[in-house]
Amino acid sequence: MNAWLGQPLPVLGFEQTFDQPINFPHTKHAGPVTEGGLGMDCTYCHRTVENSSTAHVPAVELCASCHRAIGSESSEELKKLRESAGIYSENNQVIVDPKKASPINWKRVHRLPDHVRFVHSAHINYLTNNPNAIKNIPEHLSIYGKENVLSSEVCSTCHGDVASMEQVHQVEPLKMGQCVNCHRENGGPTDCAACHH
Amino acid sequence: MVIENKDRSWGMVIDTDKCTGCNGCVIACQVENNVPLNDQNKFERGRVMSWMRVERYWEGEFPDVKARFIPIPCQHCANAPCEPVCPVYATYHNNEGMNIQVYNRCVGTRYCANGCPYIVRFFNYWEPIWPEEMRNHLNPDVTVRSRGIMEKCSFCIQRVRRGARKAKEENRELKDGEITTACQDACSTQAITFGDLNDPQSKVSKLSKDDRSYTLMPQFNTDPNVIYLASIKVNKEESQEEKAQSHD
Amino acid sequence: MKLNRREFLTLSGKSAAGAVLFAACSIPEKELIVQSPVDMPEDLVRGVDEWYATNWSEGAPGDGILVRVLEGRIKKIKGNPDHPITREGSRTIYDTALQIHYNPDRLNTYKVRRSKKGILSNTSETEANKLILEATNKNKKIVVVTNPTKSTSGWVSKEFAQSRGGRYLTYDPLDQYNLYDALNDLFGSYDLPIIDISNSENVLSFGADWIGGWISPAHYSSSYGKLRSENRGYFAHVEPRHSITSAAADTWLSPFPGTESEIALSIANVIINEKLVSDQQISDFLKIFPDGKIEYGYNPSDVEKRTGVSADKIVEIARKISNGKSVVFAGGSTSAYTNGKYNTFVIYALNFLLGSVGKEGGLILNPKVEVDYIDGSNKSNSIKDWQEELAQWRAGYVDTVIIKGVDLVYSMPNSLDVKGALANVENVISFGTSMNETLEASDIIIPETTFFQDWGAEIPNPLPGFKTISLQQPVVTKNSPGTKSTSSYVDKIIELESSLGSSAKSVVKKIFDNEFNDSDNGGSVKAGDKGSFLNGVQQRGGYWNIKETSDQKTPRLKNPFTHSIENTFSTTNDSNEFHLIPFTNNLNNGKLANIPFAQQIPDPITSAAWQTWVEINSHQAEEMGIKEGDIIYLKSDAGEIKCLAYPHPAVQPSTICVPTGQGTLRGGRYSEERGSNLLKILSDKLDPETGSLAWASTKVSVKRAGGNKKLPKFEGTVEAFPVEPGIPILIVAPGETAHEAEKKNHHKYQEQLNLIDKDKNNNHNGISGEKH
Repeated sequence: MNAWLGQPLPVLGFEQTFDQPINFPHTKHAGPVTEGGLGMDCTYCHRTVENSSTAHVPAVELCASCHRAIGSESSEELKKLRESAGIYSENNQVIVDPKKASPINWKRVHRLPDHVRFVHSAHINYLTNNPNAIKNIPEHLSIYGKENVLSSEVCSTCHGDVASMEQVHQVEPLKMGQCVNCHRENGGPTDCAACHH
Repeated sequence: MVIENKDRSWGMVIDTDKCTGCNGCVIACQVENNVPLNDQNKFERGRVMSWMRVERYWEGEFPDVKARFIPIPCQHCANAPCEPVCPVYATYHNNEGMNIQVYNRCVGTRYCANGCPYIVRFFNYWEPIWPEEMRNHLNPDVTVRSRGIMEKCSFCIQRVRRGARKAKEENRELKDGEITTACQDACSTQAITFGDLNDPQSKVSKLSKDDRSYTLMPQFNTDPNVIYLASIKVNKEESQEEKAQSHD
Repeated sequence: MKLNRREFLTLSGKSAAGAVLFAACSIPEKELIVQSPVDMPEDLVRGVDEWYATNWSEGAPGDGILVRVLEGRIKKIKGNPDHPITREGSRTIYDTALQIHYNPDRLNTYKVRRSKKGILSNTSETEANKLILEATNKNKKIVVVTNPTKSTSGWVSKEFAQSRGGRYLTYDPLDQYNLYDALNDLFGSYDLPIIDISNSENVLSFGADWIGGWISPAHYSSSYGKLRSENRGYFAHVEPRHSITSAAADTWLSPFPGTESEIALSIANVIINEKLVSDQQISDFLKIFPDGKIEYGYNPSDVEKRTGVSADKIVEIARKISNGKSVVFAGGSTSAYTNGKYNTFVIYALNFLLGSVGKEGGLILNPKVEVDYIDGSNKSNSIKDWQEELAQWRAGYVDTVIIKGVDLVYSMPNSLDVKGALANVENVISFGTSMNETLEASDIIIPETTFFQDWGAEIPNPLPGFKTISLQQPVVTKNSPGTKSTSSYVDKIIELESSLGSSAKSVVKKIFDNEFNDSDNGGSVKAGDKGSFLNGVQQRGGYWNIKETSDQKTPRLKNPFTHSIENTFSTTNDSNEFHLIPFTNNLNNGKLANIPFAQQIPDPITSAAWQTWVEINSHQAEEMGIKEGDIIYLKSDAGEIKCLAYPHPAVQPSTICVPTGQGTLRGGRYSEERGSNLLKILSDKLDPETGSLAWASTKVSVKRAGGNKKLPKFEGTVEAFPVEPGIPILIVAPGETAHEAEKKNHHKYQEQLNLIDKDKNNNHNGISGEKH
């Protein structure tokens, strides 16, 4: 019950995204260079996707590694980030003080219920070697005909074109039906215990 | 090469000659699989939940008496009486020879436990209580069950999955003995062996063809994947010989 | 979900609709948040587990263990197969340690009692530190008490006590003092030799429940597994109680308590008379006797009357063990009678007769290992030492007592009156992870870290034949939930006496830096510099060097025995007296009593849990009208306790077996007001030779209290069915005895004799593929 009703409204048809504590724009960072973004690879931040069950949201330290030096002074969001990371300037010097830092509590966008064990690494492993199974391919990526693709090029299958989202929202229903369909088409395990154990 | 392999058949061989009855397997299974704590109330009511249990039988009278131990997990029967009866298909036999229980599908009719002759299926009659601090040691690989759900030994499927995934990522076959169940790890005397029964080179297949091998309650024709090795009686044989000699 | 339509509409008017649905369905708040920590260590990846090698010196001394850590939390413990002690072995209680760390009753604040008559109240760390400094300054007479250990904490305790002109004592509830003394007399060393069971062909053991919990069960039970492999060895066990070691034996003898030496001497008698071994071996053995011969009266038939054991079995064992590689050893209750040391001495001396000393498959001496910064001994102080010590405390000669790792007030027998002694000590400082009786009686309580958070090094007992140092390293940080103010024992003592080093980590580093300097030949870790060496040691869980074995291959007898000691027991002035056989179960003499995992492991023999029970012979119980679950009073000359009865067929008549561990008066929700504390009613009979407590020499009277409680046990939960081909089982109804059941023919047979048909192609795929 909770799983169904926990479904974010956009997927049910309502166009709505919600604000995050810091409105991080994927467009500026991961968006293609031709459209004004930096073209960063997904896995630069979401590092553990290749060898763990989750593609974790990176630590504040990672954001601070760039934004201690770059980024405008006047941006509201960057002010919030600098506060979280303990970056402040004193006497024209930029100081990063971990004692003043605090974690950022992002609002979860994609959520699978407790009784599902979804492992990112297995899917990345498969999709990078079988690019025919990738769905929702963003326009700016060209992977036709390639035999192996980068990990960051497969994310769109389930997450959509995140690089073009100002605010991240869920685009696929991510219900069991979708999972099983894709598994059936591509010869994945259809054993219940593959995900429910 | 898929993670799931139709040619595999996971099985276990338990050597009752080596089993000392220490109950190490029982507690290891409980910790690995988030089996709820059995408080005094459960013991008194006869509702102890123990996926792997060690049964103790007595043989003889004092002073020639001996306690005999036998560990009994789910037998993962190929012809399981618990599988065809579930009205919601929450228990079934997977391609790799294991009997699977799907927790989120179970509605709690308990028809499966009714049919099991080995009584290895346990039902959560009460909501399992995990004090806040103790939730920290729960294994995240295994679902934490709530009240109303049937559960039983799963041959540590979470470990099988992890092992198979790792082998797939490294592009190689699974080695025999690479995947161990929690009970096997905890057994000091190596009485429990787990592996692929269909692989003729694996340790389990070789052990299952031992002279001493037998299965429990064969009259029910359940074709279990857990094979036991009978214990070797040293004195009995000799005393029978001596009796024969004395009669001459 | 008690949302009705009206509420739904109202809420949807006020906030974003998405949030309404989330709130309505009561998904916990924390599941809707993904937190970015401030910094993310490289090894903290969700879903990827880390295994650390460490060591649990209080609960599993000497064993190397691997701890699985996921996202900074401890999930599982198993034996370290790389470690030379543990190899493939494992202890039942490993996983219970998880709940020592994650326990709802875990202490997280300092507590102080301002005056002896005051109550304990929470206090801040700084306040408590002030008081501790005052109590341990250079002018105070200090005594440090810990559990017996040969580790960095032993060294720190000893050095600290000496720096204040005080003493360091250790206490172990059911101690093995006599064992170590006897070993010293025979082999010249207090260290346990290797009992090479895995390579042996015949094993004869007395008293020690070595498979269940004696000294190093992981090590010994994995050796037992090897003994039962291809060339199946013979194993005979002599113990009045039917423990799991007795159940595993091919031959089990149950002598009257205290008469184990008679059986050993009778076996020796048979071997010598039948000349089953060489003359050299016989003369080596007879050297232990003052006259060079065994006294008169040890024929098997004479001994049968005195010990209650069949003469045929003694002869059978004697013949079997003199044929091939054999090892004989003793421990446990055998060393705990008034003639405990004598028993142990004679039994170990049998190894001289069998020529197994210093040989493979026998007793191999361990090298004497002296390592800087590791001190202590596995031999605890004897009760005589403690009687003298407590007299000092009572007289007020001691200012401060520091206690760690042992619950003195709980474990000491009533006769010592340790609580009264503590009341006369000005400052009692105790370390503990959760409340226990000693902490309750203390003046300053320091919440302690668990071994998961501490550095340490230990020398295992027994050594595996070569020098080994086990490493204990932290696997979780001090930020583990509920442990912010806890302190590590070694760190705290070092804080009080800075000459000892700067921290526990620095001491451990010094130990391994020293080892690095000698590490060129055959050690377990080879590295180019000290830093990598320590890393290597951390990975392996310790440092060992198989080349550093004992130089003494065949030890000479150090002190021949001068006279045998009489075997006496305490009395109760009751006609219906029983020998009390205490035994240690998974609660480790009370240390794990507030761990629910440990409480609910069914005892192997009785399948009982959560209570204290009395094992009594089923025939005797029938005669006395005792049924299972009856409340029984056990009264010794030192006190009285109440237990539940459990009759079963394998108890020697006129003895009863009772487990220790329950009955604490102050312990947390899982252990308080539960069962009875057996350690209190042990009488104070001593072995006059050594002064050690004869804890197996108590006699009790057994009386029904007239009530019945259901004994919590696992037996009976599941219907019994035949478990071995061709052998029927006998169903014994509740309240019935085996005899009655036999007469009524309650047998249950397996209908088909079966062995797996090996010619048939056993394809175990079952029903595959075609299912939906």
